[in-house]
Amino acid sequence: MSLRDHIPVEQLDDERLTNIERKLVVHVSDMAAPPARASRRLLAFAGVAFAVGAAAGIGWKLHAPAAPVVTPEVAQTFAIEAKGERQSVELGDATIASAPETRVAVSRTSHETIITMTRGTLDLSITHRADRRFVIRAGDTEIEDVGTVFSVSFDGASHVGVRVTEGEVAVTRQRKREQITAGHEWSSDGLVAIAEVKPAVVAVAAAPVAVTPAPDVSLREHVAMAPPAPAVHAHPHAAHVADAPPVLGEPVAHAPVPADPYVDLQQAIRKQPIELDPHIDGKTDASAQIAVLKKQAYAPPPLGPEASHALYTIAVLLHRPLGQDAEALHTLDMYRRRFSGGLEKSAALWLRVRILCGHAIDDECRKAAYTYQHEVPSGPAADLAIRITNAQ
Amino acid sequence: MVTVATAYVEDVLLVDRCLTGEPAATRELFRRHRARVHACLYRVLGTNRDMDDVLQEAFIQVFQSLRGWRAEASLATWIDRVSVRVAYRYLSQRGRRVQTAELVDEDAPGGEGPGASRQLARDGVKRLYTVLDELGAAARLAFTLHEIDGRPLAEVAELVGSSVTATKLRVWRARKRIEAAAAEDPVLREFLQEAA
Repeated sequence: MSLRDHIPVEQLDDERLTNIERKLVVHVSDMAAPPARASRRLLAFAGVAFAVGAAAGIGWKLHAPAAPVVTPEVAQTFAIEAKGERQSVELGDATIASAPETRVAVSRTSHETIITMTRGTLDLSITHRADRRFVIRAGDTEIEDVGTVFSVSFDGASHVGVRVTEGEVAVTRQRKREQITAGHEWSSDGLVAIAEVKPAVVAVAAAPVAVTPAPDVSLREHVAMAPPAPAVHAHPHAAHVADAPPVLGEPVAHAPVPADPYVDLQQAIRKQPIELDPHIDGKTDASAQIAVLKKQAYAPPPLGPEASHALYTIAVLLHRPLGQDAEALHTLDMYRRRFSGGLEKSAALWLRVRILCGHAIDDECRKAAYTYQHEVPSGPAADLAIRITNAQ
Repeated sequence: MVTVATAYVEDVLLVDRCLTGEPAATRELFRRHRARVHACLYRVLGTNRDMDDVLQEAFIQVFQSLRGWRAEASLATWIDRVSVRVAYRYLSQRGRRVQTAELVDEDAPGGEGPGASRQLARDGVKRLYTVLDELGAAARLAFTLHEIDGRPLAEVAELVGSSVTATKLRVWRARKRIEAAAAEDPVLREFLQEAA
């Protein structure tokens, strides 16, 4: 009896399939997100727990001295409106200078400062604190500092411009987030251009800036009073030039920019060998080897050192010789999740740095290097990672 | 060999993306496997009525259990196993008994010209699933997966989580039941003879 060919399958129409797919995506998203509403059982349990807690609290209150009442923090809010002249406001860890015809509202709590621009231009100098966010909102754009001297201009409608003189800011617009580093400009037109930045300004970028200009002295005025900056060329090691005086405001010089300051760094990265490299050069051999390794990498638990080694080796082979860097990075992510204490941990971290920094010394590259230098504090690769992290 | 390795890596990477909750990955996995899973479920159930619910439930179970996939089996086999479990649960719920008898006429494939052989096939399929409705869920699954979906007994046994011997026995019993029904039903008998 063979009925397979006598009972053809009636296909589902596209509309039904689309509906199923849509419901499925929503369901899976809900699974990933934290539950929006507690179940009745959970609510009942919470109710009982609350009642017990309340009873315990009342009993404790009756037998304990009164505790100080903690009130929720109220945000400090004020507005800045510079009509005919520039204004400067000192916020402790930040200095804001507003150009004429600028209107902003500032809201501050102990953990967050939010500046909402209506229009105009702001020059800001911010000493970054990990426990405090500093955000500028201009229309639908949000700019968050990462330890920075920068300016923001907003025409009151749609155009927003950000110019970073020192450090780095993160700009978020229409759910897209971009890191803008020193010497770069961002505009809502979508262009990131190299700005003409005085080398000395870039050179002090890594040094924390403590700026406390006198009240009512704008940043532009402060620049005018600052001594001339020494002519230091921008370089990845620029962080060492921290003794240079802080210079704020718009860069003015037209100094030559080095052709590619990262060439030697990238060469050094390439020279640093991949650890535990199986040295398979042929693409066919590498693919065959991956097929063998999969059985070890995805063996049933408990997962041992063979599995972690196999997964790491798959990542190496995907990177070289197969050249599938995106997949190699995914595999390394998998390695980190599944074998957080694996023997190849430092090798895997370095492979990640090598892949990410092989294309460009960008933020992703620097993040990977930063992770590496914290996990592996010494060794030639660690020294290289420090150089990458410091490269601005 | 390259193809196998690439397919494997693609599966692993896709699963990994799904585990991060990426909607595009969810869609991609569904699109890659929906046709095969639907065909399998259709052959087991004999109708597309409730198929939306069953297919959706199958894939929900897949995504909920995805973290448990260790790649010792291929992703397709693993998804089939999850889907068969969903079908078993569906069949086990007597209140939601499959009503193929009234459905096969509507859902019969084709529909161009009421030829005699096409009509015979429709009636034969209808009566076959009427008999299958009377079987237990395990026997129906074993029979449909082996005889209609064309899977080897060992694979069926693995899918339903049973031994090969028990699976073979279930298929044999189902076949006997169908043959008994065919002895009294000339339409079913003719359909089975045509298929043999």
